Amino acid sequence: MIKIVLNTLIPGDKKLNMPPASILDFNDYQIKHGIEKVVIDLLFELTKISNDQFSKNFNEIDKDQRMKVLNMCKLQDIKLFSLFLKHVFKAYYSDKRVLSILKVGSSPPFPDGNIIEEDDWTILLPVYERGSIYRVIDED
Amino acid sequence: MTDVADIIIIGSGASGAAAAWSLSQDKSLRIVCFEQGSISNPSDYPTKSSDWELSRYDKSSFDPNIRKNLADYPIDDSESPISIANFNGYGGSTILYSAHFPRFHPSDFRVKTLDNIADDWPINYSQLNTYFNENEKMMGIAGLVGDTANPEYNSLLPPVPLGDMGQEMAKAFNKMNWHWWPSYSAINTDKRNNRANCINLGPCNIGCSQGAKGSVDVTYWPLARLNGVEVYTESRVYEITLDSKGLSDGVLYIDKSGNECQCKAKIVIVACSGIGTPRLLLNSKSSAFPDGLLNDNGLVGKNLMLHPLAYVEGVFEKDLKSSIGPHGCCILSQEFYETRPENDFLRGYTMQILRGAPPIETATSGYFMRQLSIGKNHHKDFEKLFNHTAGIAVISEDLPELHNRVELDFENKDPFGLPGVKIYYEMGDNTKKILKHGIKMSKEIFSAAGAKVNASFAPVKNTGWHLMGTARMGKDPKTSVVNKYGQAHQVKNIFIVDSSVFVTSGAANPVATAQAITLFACNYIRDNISNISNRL
Repeated sequence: MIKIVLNTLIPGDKKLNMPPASILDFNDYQIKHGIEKVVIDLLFELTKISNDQFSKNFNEIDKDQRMKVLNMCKLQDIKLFSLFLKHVFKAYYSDKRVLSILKVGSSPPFPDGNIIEEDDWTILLPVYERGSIYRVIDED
Repeated sequence: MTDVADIIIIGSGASGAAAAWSLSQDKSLRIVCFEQGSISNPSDYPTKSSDWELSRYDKSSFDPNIRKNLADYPIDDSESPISIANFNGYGGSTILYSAHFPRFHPSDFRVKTLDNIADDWPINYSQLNTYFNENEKMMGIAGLVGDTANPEYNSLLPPVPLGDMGQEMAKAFNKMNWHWWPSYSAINTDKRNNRANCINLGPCNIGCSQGAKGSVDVTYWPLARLNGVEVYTESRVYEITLDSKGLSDGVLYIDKSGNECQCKAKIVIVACSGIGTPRLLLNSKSSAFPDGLLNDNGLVGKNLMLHPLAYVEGVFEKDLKSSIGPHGCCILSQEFYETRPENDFLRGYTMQILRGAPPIETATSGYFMRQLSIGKNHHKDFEKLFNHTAGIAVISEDLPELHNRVELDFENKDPFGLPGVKIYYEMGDNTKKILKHGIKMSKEIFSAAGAKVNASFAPVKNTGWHLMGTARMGKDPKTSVVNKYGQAHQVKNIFIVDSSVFVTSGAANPVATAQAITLFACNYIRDNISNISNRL
């Protein structure tokens, strides 16, 4: 069920070449970050809402219904939902495969770093020509 | 176990390191520095791994209550809209700072005379100028000379590059005819002093694995240790002790193995930050100072200043690769730094232009600021934000107020049973007006840049980096804790050299000024060492 939840939150986007969140090894992530209970509580809530609303489990309803259930879960327990979502973002946007598609610049261990073009400092001329703006103090 | 040194320095951060180097010019002295944290190994910094951003929320968090290292002590900041940020370890908070390095202005030392609020400092800019220059040379400061908002600098390393976003913002400032200047940054933009140059990796504030950021573990400390200064890490000083003559005779500390030890010395220098210093003083009770060392006038821990921050974020249509480059340091504007008669507040602020957020921060803040959705449009929304944003941090001048304070917290103790601290802090009306003005002006500058503002708020909660005022300096022992040299009015061989001694806060990052004051104080100690303690 967790993969379906992840895919509902962050589905893939073929046009932008972005993978769905289900590519993550979220089991590994949740153990590493000690959030097993958060995940269990969230899945329990989603199952409950799904059954209350559609008399079906979360993995048996369609995409729109899943999004509706997620939004209801958010309204019912914003703290739990927000905490879970933060972890999904953290797991997804620290995944090497995702970062390699985004324009994040050089990746660790950063052999070369990032090149930023040299500046043309004549851009400072208007500031310079305006003259000093700090208060001159008589320090005697 | 009892050890004997000539000079004890407590704390190995920005000021403790500068003090160690300065005093070690006299190689006849045995100088011992106590640091309650351990040594960070740059090769272990999180930037070596692709999931580096995760560490910001965990072991490299600047919030000690999240990080919970053995060296950290509990800080209850529930009575403050701003939470405290620090790092307890060799190099102190410079390990996790963004390396902003502006100086205070000459007017910052004459607040009472100029604006009839707060107090003047017992020293002035001219007296510190030599030490500002010396410190910048030691720390390796990038920037450009000729800044019209500051007195002239001697020399600086080449500035940190602006990048496409910085260029856009610079043009906007020019359009408004407002001051801007490349950031003053403790970042090696050229190879220097056996340290590598910056290669624009970005996340300076989780430790620079390249070694290009000027944290004091790679600037002052190697030289101080070469001169013979000994550093006892994982050694927690819990009391400064006094002898029968009312002078300090050293410190009590808990060593690496958990043993209670004593180190005697002729001079004790305290450099534990605006929170750690009052904590130690308040915890050092004696018959002479039943309410805490040097606290006979009740001022230790009072007048806490934090530089409340406003944040405004703008989104550009174009991809400006804004997340690339040293994150905190791009450009600054001090257009509104000095008091202006047309404003409804006194004093002012600095605007710091920050680069765009990295991916996790883009997603989380974007979602909670309702700029980024979940579901089918998630990636389209993300694409519009990532590398398209810039931030403006408005650093306001905070004024000293007695009720803003640090107290010992005996309910929450550190792993060694020593009390934590409780922070009582509220923003003054003047500060609130400054932040309101800063937000308004930030919106104007984004508008001039053609960017859409997607967030603006104040104060920003997790920004209590600048800890000042809790053991202020002054001429009058009734209204201050130390004199202009950081020398305690009541115990002549105790010196405080960190930003606790600040009389007012200025509106610029404090580290350059704190270190200049440290060098000024240590120069005095070196010149007067035989007079300071009659036992030398």
